[in-house]
Amino acid sequence: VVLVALFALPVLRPRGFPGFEGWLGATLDWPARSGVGGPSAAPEETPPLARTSRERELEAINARLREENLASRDEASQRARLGATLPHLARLPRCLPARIVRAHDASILRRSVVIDVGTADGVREGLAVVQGGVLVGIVRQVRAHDARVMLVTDRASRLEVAVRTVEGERAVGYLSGGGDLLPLRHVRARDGVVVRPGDAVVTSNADEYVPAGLVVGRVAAVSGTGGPDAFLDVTVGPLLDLERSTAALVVMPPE
Amino acid sequence: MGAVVLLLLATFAAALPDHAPRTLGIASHPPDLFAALAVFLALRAPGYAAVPWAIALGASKDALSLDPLGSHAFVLGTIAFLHSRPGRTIPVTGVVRALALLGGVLLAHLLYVVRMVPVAREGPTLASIGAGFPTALWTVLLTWPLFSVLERTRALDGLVGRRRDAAA
Repeated sequence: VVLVALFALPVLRPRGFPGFEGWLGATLDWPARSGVGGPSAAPEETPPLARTSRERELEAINARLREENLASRDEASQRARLGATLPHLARLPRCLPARIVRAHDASILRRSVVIDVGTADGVREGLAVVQGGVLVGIVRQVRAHDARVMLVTDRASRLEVAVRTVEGERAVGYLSGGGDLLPLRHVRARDGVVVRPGDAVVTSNADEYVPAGLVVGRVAAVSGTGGPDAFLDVTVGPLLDLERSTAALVVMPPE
Repeated sequence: MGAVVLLLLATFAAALPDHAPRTLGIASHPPDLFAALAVFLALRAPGYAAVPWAIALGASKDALSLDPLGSHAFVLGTIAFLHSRPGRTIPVTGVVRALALLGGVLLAHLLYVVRMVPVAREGPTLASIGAGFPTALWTVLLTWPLFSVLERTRALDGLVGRRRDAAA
């Protein structure tokens, strides 16, 4: 009976469901949020034997300041790159710096990361998370002090995107997640629009929380070349690279 | 005592995918310690006492995933149920345990893929089914030392109603 009830649970989603799930997840993610065992954990240096406690204390302070300095420079660089990616915006959207504390989903078929900002910082479901000008994913589960972000490569991810051709034309399609190469289906090749491998794929303006123009990937292959008004099937290579940095920015909604 | 050990193991299992080494593609298919623990508990239990703990492990996995609560809880509960034998006096150990783990983790993956059909928009694909094989293999190989220690210490035996002074 319990197993049958559990089978129905994800579909029925009774009251209190997200609350319990959030509490359980926050409990198990607590070490990573506290900086223990997160993906950014650097190998510790082996301290020499003869070292006073004052020297060790100063070394710890030095390491912390160095880490803060690097994080600050990384954040500034990401903001600059975001600004360069969205030159059409009169004002850059407000961005909340975040750190990726879990780089994998517990389920092997899903793609998500956990960031260390939550509802207490103003994060809500649906916000875009970027690294520089590259879209990482969309916030899907928010808890008080952390949030789970569904990556653009997750199999449940659906995004309206636009292919920017070298001629400056724009062709819109729907990008699905689910692998290392993402299918972009039903791209309407209007008269004169030629999509080629290497063309940039950017976010469209379908979502109020996701600014148009964020880089998603590059066209890897095109099939179904036809006449005018034909629909193309495009394969996109995503550009998100979570190994480059554990820092990210949450694009906040306008106040 | 057993519950504390299980909580620590669940916390470890949550961090495992982030720390799996890249060698031989382990990071792409990290060991599924949640499923392995569910099977291990069922193989130690003299009856169906492992099922509630397996459901708790599954709920923990759900909370650490985009999948809705109940997805893995159902899968791991079912796996524990299938691996439980009422009246089992001697727990399964050694190579037989490893083979049972291999089958259990693989079955858990297949059940999960099938179980997600009513929830996910896309159906099961060959790639999603195939991903279960390397996961099951790495799970068995890399958890072998851990389960040997758990067998020797009998740290989880109290959870499933097996007396700690009983034969291992």
